[in-house]
Order: sequence, then structure tokens, then C-alpha cells
Amino acid sequence: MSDMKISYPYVSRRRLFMFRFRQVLTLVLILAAVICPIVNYLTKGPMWSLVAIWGMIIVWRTFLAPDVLEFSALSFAFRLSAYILILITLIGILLSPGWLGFVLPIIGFSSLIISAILYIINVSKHKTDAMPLIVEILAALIAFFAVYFATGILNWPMIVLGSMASIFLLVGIVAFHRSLWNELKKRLHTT
Amino acid sequence: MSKNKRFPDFLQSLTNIEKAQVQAFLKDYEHHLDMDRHEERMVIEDAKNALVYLAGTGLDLETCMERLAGKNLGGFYAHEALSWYPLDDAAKIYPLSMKFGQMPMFRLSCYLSETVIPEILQIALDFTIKRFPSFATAVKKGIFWHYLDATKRRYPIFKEAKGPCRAIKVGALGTQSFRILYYENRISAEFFHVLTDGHGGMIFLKTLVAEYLHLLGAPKVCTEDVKDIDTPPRATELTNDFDRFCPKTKKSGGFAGPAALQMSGRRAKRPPCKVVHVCYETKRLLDKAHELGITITTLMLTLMFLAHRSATDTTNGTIQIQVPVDMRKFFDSDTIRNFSMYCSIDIPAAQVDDFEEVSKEVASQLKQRATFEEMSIMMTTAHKLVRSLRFIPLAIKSPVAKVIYGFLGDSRFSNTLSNIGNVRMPEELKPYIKGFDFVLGTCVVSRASCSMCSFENTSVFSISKNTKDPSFEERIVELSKQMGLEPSVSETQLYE
Repeated sequence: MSDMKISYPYVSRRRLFMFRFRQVLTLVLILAAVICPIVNYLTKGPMWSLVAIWGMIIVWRTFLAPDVLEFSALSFAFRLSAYILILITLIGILLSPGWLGFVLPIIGFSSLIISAILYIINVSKHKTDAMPLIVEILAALIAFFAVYFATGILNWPMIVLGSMASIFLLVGIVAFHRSLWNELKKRLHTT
Repeated sequence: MSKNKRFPDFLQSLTNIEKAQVQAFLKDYEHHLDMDRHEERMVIEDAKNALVYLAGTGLDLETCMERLAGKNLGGFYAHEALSWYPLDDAAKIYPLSMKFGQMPMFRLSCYLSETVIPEILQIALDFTIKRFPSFATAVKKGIFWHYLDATKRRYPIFKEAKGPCRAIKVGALGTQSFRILYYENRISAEFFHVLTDGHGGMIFLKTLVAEYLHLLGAPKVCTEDVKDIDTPPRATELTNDFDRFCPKTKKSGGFAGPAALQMSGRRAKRPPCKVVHVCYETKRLLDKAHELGITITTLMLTLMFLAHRSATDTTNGTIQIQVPVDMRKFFDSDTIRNFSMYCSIDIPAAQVDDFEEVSKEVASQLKQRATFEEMSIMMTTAHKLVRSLRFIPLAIKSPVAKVIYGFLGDSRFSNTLSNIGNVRMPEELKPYIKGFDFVLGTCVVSRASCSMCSFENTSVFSISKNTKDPSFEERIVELSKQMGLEPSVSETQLYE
């Protein structure tokens, strides 16, 4: 047998504070998610518990169980704006109706601007991370056409959203068509 | 002296002609780099550090620069990263089921005769990585499947400071799925299983070690397992061989099965909480196995069954040990991606008593289950499953896989034994190498995972623990001693 010595560096004991904190917070959130609908049902009134549960899901997905893969600024911004859009929609439908058609497109185009800035800041790095932006642009266009064909009326935030998404799409196709095509091929593969 | 100061001082010590030669040497590096400025600077720093080190050993400047020449970088750092690789059939489950801080990892280590020189190891990695393009990637999410996307960057080495097989944070953009560590005379490569299996990982480690030794003056040797870093990889090295060689047998099986009997002991919060290495003299181990008329794998499996029996409080249930099977022994494959399946050796705990009977049962089950026919059935089943799921979006597959894995986990197995066998190195490099070891990351439910490899006359049996309870490893050592195998034991501290 060779004189091979196997040794390892000393590692100071890992603190499990964050691990335990996460466990406790998870329990608290689960408990709250169960209690909220019960209280809501017993006290009657609007379905605020759905808004509360969605708020808890946002906390969970954003801080306690973030994406394990592709956790970039662009994907984080995309995910957060999607969560906020859903939260605002729930509030608008369940608690205080009447302003959704105005606020949602404003949040939509603000989010588009933020994503585009994040993309432009480091184009070379984000060339292979454009998917959140592509999805955001497509979602904005779908929303724009859906509202237009469904109602025939477009308010100014919706017009800004639609035109901004169209401009971004055109610029993307003209300036980044090669990397865009490569990106789509990779993202859509089924093998 | 700080690394930043060493190069200017070294330059000062040179003649004007030599200074001009060094400037030309660095200029040549710049021609081979077209990346982010920061990454480019890091590679040039690597070259400077390696040059200062080699020159400091008394080697003449010309030889130093020849060994470290910029041409060794090839076009890897200058080409645009356009390649990408769909995951192989075995790898597809890993990103689907992984959670924060929990991913299937394994580690291969090479022990050298001398202390590792980090400056040389870093430049050796800078040179070697181009030969393994599927490793120079980041795991990404597609609409239907994950994939490996090429990333052009410098891959840093790290001084070992944590326990083995810690999860790699693969979340950030362009993050690598492997890491190279050094500690005293050991070079270790830890891999996220999505990249490769033990066979592919060992080829990478051997090639890296050979390049490292070559830079330090050892002869340049290339074999089937020690790749020539100056030639591009063969296309067949990068293929999903599950797809290429799928036998498409009509029979198909399943992956589910009854839950296995687990060892007692509370599960660690962040496994592995300890790694134990039991070293044997290969000749003694082989002689014992021959004396008993069994193979080394059968012998070790038998010891594991008996030790498991001592590490559990109940006799109700079946001890099921997973044994990975390298499919390369059935097919003419040279892929460095995953190409392994597994079989299960199952014995009811109540029947695990006598060494001879257990070894007979293990040998018989291994003979029946690690066959081409059985592996073909499993390979076909896996391939069919992958094909049938291919149009279901990841957004649906991923949470479902997480829930299923969360419920079942790896409860199907009590333990694992992955034996990569005898590690061969070219004769010319053997004087520089003391040995190898192989550590498997722990699973979620099972309390231990075992792995084994041997080099020359040393066989290392490694146990990654998912519980503090030492009964299992203590029994393995005790049984080995009783059999006259005279093992020597090394272990990490308890990490929690």
C-alpha cells in the first residue's frame, strides 16, 4: 500500500441559523396560508385571503426559494414584475375594482423598460439570457392585441405598452437576429 | 511577497532582450483571448504567475515560455460561445429534482508526490478546459428540457476550504458545474452529475493532472484516458449515448419499487456531514476475494450489507443497495458524458447474518441484474420515458418531478456502491502520483453512499455520511480487520 495520506482542512462548524430561520419562516407561511382562508370565510366580506396567500407566495419564491438556475438580474426583474402584476390584478378584481385597465399596462411598460436597460447594460453577457425579455415583449404584445380586439378601446398606457413592445421586438430582430435565433433553438429543443 | 508584486520584480531582474521576449509572450496570450476584459486579465495574470513560478525553479526563460506558450489556449478563449448540448437521458432528472443546496455531486481526487503548485494548476486548467467543451458550460432552462450552454470564461481553481461534495451554486449566469480544488498534495475535481459520470470525470482529472505534471517537467503522454489537449474532441465524446446506442428492446421495466430499509440515525441538515476513507492493500483485497471465489465489488457489497444490518434497529424490511453499471462495457462508447445505469441488490434484513450466505446472494444477484439484457431494458425504459415527456413544458415537469422526488426521494435504496475500479495512468507519470480516491455525494434519504477506486496497490473505499451515527463505518472497519484486510482509516471532521 502506498504512503498516501488523506487529510482535509479544518472547517469551522457551519452555522445553521439561516437554515433554521428558513424552516421557521416556511412553517409560519404555511400556517398563515391555512388560517387566512378560514378567517376570511368566517368573517365574510371580499376574498382578501387570496391576495394574502399570493403575497406569501411572492415572499416564498423571492426570498426563501429563489430560482436554482439562471438567477440573473434580468430573470429576477421579470419574475418579480410578473408576481406584482398578478398581485395587482387580484387586488383590482377582489378588493377595489375600477383602475386595473390603467395601472396594469403602466406596470407592464415600466417592467419592459427596466428589463431592456438591464439587457443593454451588459449585452454580451445577456445574449444567452434574453429569454425573460423575449417572453415579456411577447406577453405585452399579446395583451395589447387582446385588449384591442376585445374592447376596441385603448388608453394611453396600453398604447405605450404596445408601441414599446413592438419597438423592442423590431430592434431585437434587426440587431440581434442571429443570437435571438440561436437562443430560440436552444430554448425550444426537445431532444 | 504578494502575487501582484512578484511579476514586476521578476521583470526587473531580466535583461532587455529577455524583457522583450516576455512582452512578446504576453502579447501572444492577448491574441488568443477575446472575452470580457476582466476574464482576459485573469488569464494573463495566470500566465504571469506560472511564468514567475517556473522561472523561480531555475528553469531557463525560453523553456518556461515554451511550456506556457499562448498557443496552448487554442481558440477556446477567442471564439464566440455558440455551442450547446442537450442533457443526456441520465442527466435530465438532476436539474428537475434539485433544490437549493441539494444536488447530486461526486468528487475525484489525485494525490501527488509533491505539494500542489496553484499557479501551475490554474494554467493547466486554462489549457485543459478547451479539450472538454461540454464541461465549459452552464446549466440552463429551456422550454421543454434543461441544456448545457457553452460559456467562455476562465475557470478558477480553489484552495479547499470546505467539506467534500458541497453543492455548487449554479444559479448565477454562466456559472460552472464543476470545481477544481487543491489541498496539500491533492488535486480534486468535483462535478455536478449533470455534466458527466465517474468515467468521464476521471478522464478529465487524469488529463488535467497530466498537463499539470507536464508543465512541471514530466514527459507529455497521451493515451485513451489521458487526452491530448491540443486536438479537438471527437464528436462521439460529446454525444448522448443513451440515444445513440439505445437497444430499443420490446421489454420495458420501471424505476419505482418498494422503499428500502434505511439505517437508523438522524439525517444531517446539510450532508455529507462526514466522509470516511477506508484504505486497503489491493493485493490483499484481491487475494481475499479470490480465496472466497468472489469479486472485490461482491466482497465490499457483502461488507456493506452486514454493516448496514448493524446500523439499523429493525429487521423488518429489505436492504437495497444501488450499484451503478458503466454502459461503456457493453457498448463501444467513448462519450465523456453520463453513460451509466444501475442495478439493485436486495436482501431482506432478517437474512443478513452470515458472510458466506450474503456473499453468495450478492454474487448471484449481481450476475443476474448487471447483465446486458437487464441494462438494455432499463435503458429502453429511460429512453421511452424521456421521449414521452419531451413536449411537456419544464414549467409543468419541474414541480411534478420535485413533488414526486420529495415524496419518494431516494428511499428506494438504502445505500449505493459505485466502484470505478482500477485507475490506470501512463507509466511515465506514475512516479509523480501516489493515489486516487473517489467520493460520492450523499442522497436525501439514505444515510450513506459508498464509492471505491484503486490505483496500483492501494484501494480506497469512501463512505459519505448523511448521519452522525458511526455504526456503519465502524462495522465495515471491524469486519475488514476480522478478515485480515488490515485497513487504514482516514476521515474528515464531523461537519455539524
